Amino acid sequence: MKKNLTVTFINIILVLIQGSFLRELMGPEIAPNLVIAFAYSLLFMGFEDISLTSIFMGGLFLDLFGFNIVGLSPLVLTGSLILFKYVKKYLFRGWLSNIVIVFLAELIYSFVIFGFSQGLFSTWRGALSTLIFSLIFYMLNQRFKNFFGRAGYSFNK
Amino acid sequence: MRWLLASLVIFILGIFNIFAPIRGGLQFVLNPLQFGLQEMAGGMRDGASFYFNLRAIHSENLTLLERNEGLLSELLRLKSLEEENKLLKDQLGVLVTEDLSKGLILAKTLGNFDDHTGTSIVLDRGSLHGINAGDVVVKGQHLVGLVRSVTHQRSDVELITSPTLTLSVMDFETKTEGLARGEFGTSVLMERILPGEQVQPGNLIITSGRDGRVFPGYLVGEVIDVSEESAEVLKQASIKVLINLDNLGKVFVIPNK
Repeated sequence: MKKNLTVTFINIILVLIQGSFLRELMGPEIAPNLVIAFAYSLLFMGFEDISLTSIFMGGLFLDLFGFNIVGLSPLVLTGSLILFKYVKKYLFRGWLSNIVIVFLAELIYSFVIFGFSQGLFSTWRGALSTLIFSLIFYMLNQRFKNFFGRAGYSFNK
Repeated sequence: MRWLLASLVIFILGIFNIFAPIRGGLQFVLNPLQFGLQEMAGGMRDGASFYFNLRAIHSENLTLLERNEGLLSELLRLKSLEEENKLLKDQLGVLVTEDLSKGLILAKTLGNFDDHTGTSIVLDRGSLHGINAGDVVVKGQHLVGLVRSVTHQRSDVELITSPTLTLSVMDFETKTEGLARGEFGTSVLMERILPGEQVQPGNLIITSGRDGRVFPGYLVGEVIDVSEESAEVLKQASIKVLINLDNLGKVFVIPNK
């Protein structure tokens, strides 16, 4: 429960930041999707359950703060995360596949939610920045995990 | 799988707009925070841009000072014309037209995260404040766009640079009419100009009001180029939008009553 609440709180912050601060600072074309970046960074660390909770909550808040039908984003994001979880488990492993997976997750989300009208050029730049933020989150989460691990906390996957 | 099922259930319920009150409440509570964050980011971006472009700003300042001198004399001429106009109206007993500024809704703008092309924005006012889809959004005399959809607390505005928005416009000087359609970015294309009609670079383009969606007289932009290809039957003109749509700050919504 504590874990879910923490992830929910983090996702509210991420949605707020990505919809205002980062978009204004970086421009609409290269604004990253922090919800995807954070959830996939957890997936790559092996926290599959938390990553699913995270992407569900993040997607829900994306819809609640936006104009989509509520539930569409979590449906697409959770579905793609489950798909890529199995792709990683049974088909492709390693860092290259992780990179491709984050990139594809963002492309799928953009095309399903916003359609093809935005063009591939705009979308792939957003996917690239999402990928970069996913790597940043991965490094931050690793440090966080090591820091608290040394202090005696355990993280169940 | 439970999250996927939960998403599906929420999506089905969402189709019937069951979550509108939750959405409204959440946006009401967190709107100030999100708009505050955006203002902070805007300030940081402007500050950085100022220091990176000091040289350009210096030369721009000199140009503006020169232009300002010219505009001051123009202002003086217009003031004398205004007085003359007022005097004539008083003489003829013409009633002053209704003040359109009454009933306008002031709103803060936020970039639309759902849009990577930058052709739409979000307002911090929604249906609870009297905004409806189709309402016109302006800043001063400049047309900003039209409201596309609304929630209780927010509105989604399609900017005039959006390729899916078409408006009836006309040349302010020559009264040549055409259709304005946005091009991704900051420009607008004025289409369907008859070959015999005159549209010159530098002319101002305003809304004509013929489409019944926008009041006439709102400024769309300035003509920067006119296509003169002989193969084309109808001409088209590129229009530069004169306000910075990336940094609008506050705008006004004209409600369609």
